This record gives sequence, structure tokens and C-alpha cells, in this order.
Amino acid sequence: MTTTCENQVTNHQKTSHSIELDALFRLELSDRNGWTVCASKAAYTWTHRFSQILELPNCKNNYRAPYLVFLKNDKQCHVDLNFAELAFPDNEIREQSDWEHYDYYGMRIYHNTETLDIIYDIGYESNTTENIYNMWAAVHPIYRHAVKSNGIPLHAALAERNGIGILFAAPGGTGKTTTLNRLPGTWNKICDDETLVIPGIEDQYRIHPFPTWSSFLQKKPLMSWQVNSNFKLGAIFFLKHGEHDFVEHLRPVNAAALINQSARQIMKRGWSLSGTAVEKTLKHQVFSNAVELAKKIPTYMLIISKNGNFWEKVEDKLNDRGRL
Amino acid sequence: MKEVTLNPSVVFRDDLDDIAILYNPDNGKAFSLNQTGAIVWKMLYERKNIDEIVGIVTDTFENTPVEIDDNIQEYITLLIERGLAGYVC
Repeated sequence: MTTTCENQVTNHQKTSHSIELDALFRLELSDRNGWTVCASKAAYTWTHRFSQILELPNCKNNYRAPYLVFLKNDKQCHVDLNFAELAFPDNEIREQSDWEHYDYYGMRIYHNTETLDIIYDIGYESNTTENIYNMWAAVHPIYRHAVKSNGIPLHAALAERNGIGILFAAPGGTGKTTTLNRLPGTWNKICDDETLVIPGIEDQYRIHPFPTWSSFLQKKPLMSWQVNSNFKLGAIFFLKHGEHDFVEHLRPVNAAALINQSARQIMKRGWSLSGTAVEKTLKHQVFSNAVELAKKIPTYMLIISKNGNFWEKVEDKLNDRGRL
Repeated sequence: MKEVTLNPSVVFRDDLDDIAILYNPDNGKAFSLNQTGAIVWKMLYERKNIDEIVGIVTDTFENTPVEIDDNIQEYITLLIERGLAGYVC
């Protein structure tokens, strides 16, 4: 449980009360949208760990982008945020923006309609599990931003072959990880839970891997995902178990419904947090983006048997369409 | 005759292939419509009543079954049961 502190600082000038921010890392999507990851001193350790998991590179001195700002309070309350006191690295005054916030797990997330800056108050001292949930929540605004830019997060595993990214989509606990692990060595296994699809040029899409946050909750070994990396999206396969390996082409109307479902599995955790109007807009936008993706990217139902070489069916289908 | 109104939240897309899709963002469910279903949906959107819809469908399609008005009424009932439309009180 968190509470808001009494206002302790009334001076709006950048004085000794300012919260100094260090620009540390860079998060960049394939559409050239990106963020400079900043942290206050108190939030440095958390931010460093978060950026390690996302394998974010160090920020270059001349790199300018919107900011992901992480703040932390040592007291058992959220930071009493006065935007004028945030010392952005480029000294740009951003307190004019019309900031709104929503609470997600132990985190308070500030955003505005004028800039792409996002400010995270990660709360006070928390345990490992809470930290992981907060990090999981921290990527949600990135997904929201992508949806507004016609991208879409998908609950899918990502494998790469010959430079092409192939998605294997399914709800949690229904075979994404097992499918990925069964692929032969000719496939590069990138991630097994969350991905972000970003529109590219000429009806193409790029696909970014995102962490399997639940693996940390299951006390699995230290893992990380190169979130800035991306691949050209070649096809989407929705997984289904069966007696024999089989690939069935999905009509765009069915593909759109399944893509929309997959995106909802990711987005539903946080899209109600900004009120019903924002939720409605996000739901409509996700569906619209799912339809566009279904029109442009071949989508299949992949029926997988327990012991068969299902990937041969996948490779055949992709070779037929010149996608590998 | 009761007037039918469509759920304003529902999204209608007919640009995928020869099947249209209705999507209800409130519950995340999507429904596919055949060509006739899509035409009827569009006419409901234009606030046409059932008699007008029956007349247009009969004029548009060949060999329309004699029970077409029952079929359209059943279709509208299905839309209402699924929360995609409702009757204006």
C-alpha cells in the first residue's frame, strides 16, 4: 500500500531541491521512436537492473529522445512530484505539459499528450517479486505508445531464421516455450512470451523481443533480452495441439480475430487504468492494428503433434511463399 | 414496429476479404458476417427498419427465400443476444 506524502517542497525553481537525473541508457524501436532512460540517484540500482534485463545500451552523450524517467522515494510513499524540479539532462523545461498518471502495481506512471516522455515513480523499497512486477508494468506504456503508432504487442514466442522473424502465438501455458525449445539448431530462438510488432516501410513489419517476466518469478536463472534488436516479420503461426503436424492458412478475417486476442492478452493487464475513455480508444486501436497486420502478414494455424517435426511444415509453408 | 439500434462500441470491418467482421471491444469477441449479414448490418447502421431491409435484400439477391423476413428477424435477434445491437425503447 502506498500513500502520497505531504508536500515538502514548495520552491518551483531548480534549486538544491531539484531531482537530478542521469541519462543512462537508450531504448529504441525500429520506427526510430526511442527513449533516453534516466534515473534519479535513489532509482539508479532499480533502473540499472531493468535496463540490464532489456539489454539497453549505454546512452550516448549526443543522443536526444523523449525520456523514460525513473524516480524512487526512500520513504514509504510516492515521490511528491513537482515537474519543475526534475532536472532533465538537456535542461528542457517540461513542466508545461499536461501530465496525467495512473497506478500500476506499486508504480505510478506519468504521461502527457504533448511529449513522449514517461515518468515512473517506482515507489519505495520493495522486494524482488514486487520489483519484477514493477518492471513488467514499466513496459506497458511502451506498448501503449506503439499501439498509438499502429504497432501491436503480441503474446507470442519469436524465432529467427535467415534474418526473418517468425511468431508462434498462444495464450500462457499452452506451448510457446515448448514449441520454441523443440525447434532445431537452424532456428535462432529469441524470446518465448512477449513481442512488439512495429510497422515498417512498404507494408512490412518489424518485430522486437520482450522479456519473459514470469521466468524471474519462477526463480529461473538470470536472463536478458535484447529489446532494441528487431527482425523483419515473416509470418505468424497460432499454436494448436493435435495428432499430426499440419499448417492451415488463416483467412484474414480469422487472423485478425486471433491477432486481436493475442494483443489483448498483453494489453488487458493495464489498459483499464487510465479510465474508460482511454481503455475504449486503446481497444479500438488494437483491433484496427490487428486488422491491418492480418491483411499484410501471412498468418497460419499450426497444429503440433507431440513428437513430430512440426518445423518442417513451417519451413515448407514459408519457402512456398518465399518468406525464408 | 420496434426500431433496432447498433451498439456504438462495436467495430465493423469489411475490408479483409469477402467476410466482414464485427468486434465488440467490451468483451473482446469478434463475429464474422457473410455478405448478406454485412449488408443488413450496414442498413441497420443507416437506421432502416426491418420492412425496408427485407425489401432491399429481396431486390438485391436472386432466389431470396420466402422466409427472408423471418431470417432477418432471427439475425437481428442474434445480434441483440450477443450485445451487438438493441431495440430502441
